[in-house]
This record gives sequence, structure tokens and C-alpha cells, in this order.
Amino acid sequence: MLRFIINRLIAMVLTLWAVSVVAFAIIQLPPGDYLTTYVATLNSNGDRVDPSTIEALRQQYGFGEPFLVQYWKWISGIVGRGDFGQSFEWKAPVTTLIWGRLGNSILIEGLAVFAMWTIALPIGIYAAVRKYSLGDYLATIGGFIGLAVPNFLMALVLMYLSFVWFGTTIGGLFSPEFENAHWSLPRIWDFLSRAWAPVLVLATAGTAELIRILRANLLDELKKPYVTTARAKGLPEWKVILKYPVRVALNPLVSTIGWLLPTLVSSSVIVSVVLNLPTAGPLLLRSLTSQDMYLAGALIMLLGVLTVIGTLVSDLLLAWIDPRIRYGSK
Amino acid sequence: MPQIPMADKPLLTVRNMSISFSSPDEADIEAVRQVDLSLTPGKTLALVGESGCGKSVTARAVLRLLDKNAIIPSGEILFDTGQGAVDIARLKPDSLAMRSIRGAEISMIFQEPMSSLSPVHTIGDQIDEFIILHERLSPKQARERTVALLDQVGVPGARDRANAYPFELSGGLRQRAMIAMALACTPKLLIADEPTTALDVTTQAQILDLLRQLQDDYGMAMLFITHDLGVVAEVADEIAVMYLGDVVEQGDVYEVFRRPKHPYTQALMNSVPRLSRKADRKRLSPIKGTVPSPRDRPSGCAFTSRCPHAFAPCPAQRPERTQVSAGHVARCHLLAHEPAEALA
Repeated sequence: MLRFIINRLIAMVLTLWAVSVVAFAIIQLPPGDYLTTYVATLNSNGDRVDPSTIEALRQQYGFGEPFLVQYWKWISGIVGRGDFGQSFEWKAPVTTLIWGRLGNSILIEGLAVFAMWTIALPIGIYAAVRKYSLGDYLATIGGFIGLAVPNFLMALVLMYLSFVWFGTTIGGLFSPEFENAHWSLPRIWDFLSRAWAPVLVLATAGTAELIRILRANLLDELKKPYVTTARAKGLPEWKVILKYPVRVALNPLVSTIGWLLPTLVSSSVIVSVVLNLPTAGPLLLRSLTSQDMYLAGALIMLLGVLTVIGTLVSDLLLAWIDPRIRYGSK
Repeated sequence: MPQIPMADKPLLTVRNMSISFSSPDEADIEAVRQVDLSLTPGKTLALVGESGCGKSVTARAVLRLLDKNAIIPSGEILFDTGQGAVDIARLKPDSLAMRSIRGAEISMIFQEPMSSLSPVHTIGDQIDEFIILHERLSPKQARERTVALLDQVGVPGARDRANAYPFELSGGLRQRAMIAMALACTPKLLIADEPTTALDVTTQAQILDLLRQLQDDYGMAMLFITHDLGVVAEVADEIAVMYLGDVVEQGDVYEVFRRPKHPYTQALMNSVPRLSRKADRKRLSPIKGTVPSPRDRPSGCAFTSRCPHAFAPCPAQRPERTQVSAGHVARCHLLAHEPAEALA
């Protein structure tokens, strides 16, 4: 088991290194750099910029240097000093900008994952065990609606309804008075009273998908002879189902946890814009359009880290729940 | 050894039982019709027949393990609990009464030891659960019992093997573990649904020996399902031959083997290959035709379409149970009518 984890950790480091190269290459890929975008914006506003000033800035940011040199400066800063560079647009170190945002992202999306599982598990089990019952059809219809409705539309509808019915707007994650406060009970309460909407919106599509996958897996497993064996022991039906087929049907679901986090982050961009959430998604979008390369690079890099950690977690979970994987790795 | 006296009082009596399967798109299919069986402590009844003849369905009906679309429209399954008989056919499959019989009084060994054991739980875990459920022992005591059981069924290194997963064991060991599980609560009746079909011949012989020895030790009744007449000769005291949902012949195994009365039983006997010298070899005579689907079954004797002796009453009229000799019964018109009339 220990060897399994060590192997995984080594693979993780290598993957992250590859991700960093690709991330850096991608943010360098569009023609021009932050300064050209910046000058273009100024020009379109009617301002004139002195070419020598631009040249000086170019030297200062190191834009003229070859790719490898730039990459080395960037990566050695991250690994050596935890310094992700400066954001050109915000005129501030990237680190001060992203941690709060990324924290919000992980919190909201973690809650969404949690909501997905708690809603999908019982419904999926019910839909499989009572196949073709009214409840199964309702779950199927609900599932298809959940899959088909785009997140942002759902967010808009929810905002509209909550305004019409309750007279409140549900944008943002905190009320203004709690925006920069430290965590405290009232702040948690304030957060929860606002966070349910984005969590719900982000969780719908995933919940619907989980219900479908769980139902299909479980239908396969319910017919297996070991379920009959468990029944022949005299166990009550609910215990037969929860202990045996559900346990086996969970395996493929657990392996999806790995890519759930990054998918949520990237799919939540539009929802975050619509609901005005201070998460990482909108920041990434903004930094990419303005070619704010160090900020964008840091965010892409951290998404990579999330994916890799998520995969590791799901591998470990899988090895934990399925002995066939645990012993196969010896 | 706890030797239970060989009472002639049957432990389980199946009377006139039919089983139908309903389907939303088609007419109901009667998989088993009017079966009568009885099982006595210490004796083995072998239920023989080809695939799809309803032998497994009959066995599962005794534990009410059939799918939801199966119903038992008529007949009774009387089980002697010691405090009067219970009609299992009238119990709800998931009721407490049914569940307290399952495993504790009647338990079952399945055909595929690999897929019949959970792949994600250890052998010991699956047996412990059984003991804890019915005997309310602590997990530790249950494990002691499990190890003793595994040891008894001949699993080497039982204490370590209890912590193994099914995929870490060989087919023979898995079936031994399955048997240990079925015996965990010393049932009065053991149903073995083709327990040796998935095993090679050597292992098969070992498992049969083991089952026979355990039956002597515990004095339980056994319902043994198989399609292998060689296995029947090895384990059974009585035999019931099934064809397409009907029990066509039943009785003492020696009597039936020596003087098979039903044409289907006779045909089965003739299709068993025998080792002999080249000069003495005879061609095997296969049963002509194939088994019809239960939907096309003649309303009379099910074997009509393939029977070499079929005559006037066969297709429409169902033959009654006819006593051939003491305890030997067959359902065939040939027995009720004069042979001369039959051949005419």
C-alpha cells in the first residue's frame, strides 16, 4: 500500500511539472503580450503612450527574453519562494489575489459535491431497486431536466424566483458587512443563507448524472448471484441491498471524484459571473482576456494541482473500498 | 456426533406446487407445474433434469428467492419447524418469518462459487455476518466459529483464509467456503444447486465426499440439484426426474436407475456414455429433437413431442401419478394403459 502511494506521489510530481510547462506555453501562445493588450486599450480610449515607456516596461517584465528563460524565472519563483509573480492588471502579487478566491471556489464546489452525493445516492438506489415504478420515472424525468438545463439559466431562474417570492437577491456569497470579516457564527450563517443557491445550481447536473450512473450500475449488480446468496442468509432486504450491490456499484462513481473538482471549477465560470460569486472562475476568465499571464498561469497551474490531488484521492478511496484493486497493485 | 434419529416424518413436503412467471408483454409462463416432493432428515433427494426444466426454480421457491415476477399460484410448501408446519408458499418473501427460516433452518449452496460470494468482502466477514444474524454472537465468537467451520470443511490455514477475499482462493476452496457458510447455523435442510458443476472432476469428487460426510455428521436433509447422473449415483437416496416443469418420475435411486419407467428417464439413461472395450461399444442414442419452449408445451404430457412411444391420450391429457412399486412413481400413460393398447 505504501509503495502504491509513493508511486502515485512520484507520478503526481511529474504530471505537475508537465502541467506547468503546458500552462506556461498556453498563456504565451496568443500573439502579443500583456503590454500590447494594454497599449491597445489605452489607444482605443484615445490616450497616447510613449514608445520608450513601453520598451522600459517590456525590459522590466522580461518579455523580450526567450521562452525557457521566462519559464525558469516563473517556475523557480513558485517552487523556491512560493512566489507566483505579479499580476499586471491588479498591480499586486498573484498570491494575494488568488488564495481567497480559490478558497471560496473549493468551499462552494466541495459543498456542491457533497450535495450531489447526498441527493443522488438515495434517489439512485431507489430508482434501481424500484425499477419502472412511479418514483423511478420521476427520478428519470428530473434527472433529464437537470442534465438538460444549462447551469446559468437555472441560476437566472432561481434569482428571479427568489426575488419574486422572497424579495431577496441571491447574488454573491456574503452580505457587504461580512465581506471582509473573519469567520464567526453570524458570518457562517450569512454564508449559508446565500451559498445554498450556487451550491444547488452547481450540483444539479452532477446529481442527475450520478443518479443515472448509479441506477445503471446497481441494476447490473442487483441480478448478480451474490445478492441472492445474501438474501438466502436471511438478511433483511434493505441490508442485503446496502451492504452488497450498492457497495460494488459505488466503485465507478468513486473513480469520478478525481475529475469532478476541476470540471466544477471550469463549468462554474458562467454561474459565478451570473450570481456574482467571488470564486476563481471569473478571475481566470478575466486574466485570460487581458493576457495577465502570471495570474492566468497560476490559476491554470492550481487547477492542475486540484485535478492531480483529486485523482490521487479517488485512487486511494478506490483502493480502500475495493480489495481487488488494493491487492492487484502489489 | 449428534445423530438425529432417522424419522420417517418428512421435514419438507412440497405438494402440488406450480410456479408461473409473468411478463408485461407476453402471457404467463408456467415454469413448474404441480410438483410433489418430500424430504426426510438424513436423506438426499436429487432433482435431475436438463437446463431450463425448472429444477433450480423449484429449489429457489422453497426459500422464496424467486424474482418478483414469479408467483406460486397453487400448492403448498410445508416445512416442519419442530413446532408445527409452516406453509412457506404463503409467507411473504421479505417477512420476518421467512427470513428466520432462511439460513437458520434451510440454507443453500449455489452453483458459481465465484459470483455467489461478494467480491468486496472477506470470506470470514461473509460467514461471520451469517452467524451474528441468526445466533446473536459477538463478532469475536462468530469469527472463532467461522474458523472452526472452515477447518471442518477442509480449508487449510483456516484462520488466515478467513481474511482472504474470494478472488484469492481457488474454485474448490471457494466452494468449500460456500459450504461452510451454508452450514454455519446447522440447518435442517441443505439445498445444493449444482454445487459441483463449475468445478473440475477431482475437486468435484472431493466436494461430494465432503457433503456426504457433513450430512452424516449433522443429519440434515439435502435437496441436490444436478444434471449429472453420475453425481446422482454418488450422493442421492432418492431421485426426482424433471422435464419441462413436470416431475416425470421419482423414487428410490437404485430402483429408478435399475427400472426406469418413464420414456424420458429411459432415454436419459441410454445417453450416458459408458467405458467399454472397442468390440463392445455401442453408439449412444441421443433423445431426438430439442426441448420445446414452455410456451409450446403440450397440454398433456410434456414429453409427447419427443417420446418414441407417444400415443392417443398423450398430447391432450396429463398422465396421473402412477405407482410402479413401493415409493416409485411415474407420470406416463403407458403405465396406466395396457401395453398392448399402447402399441396398437
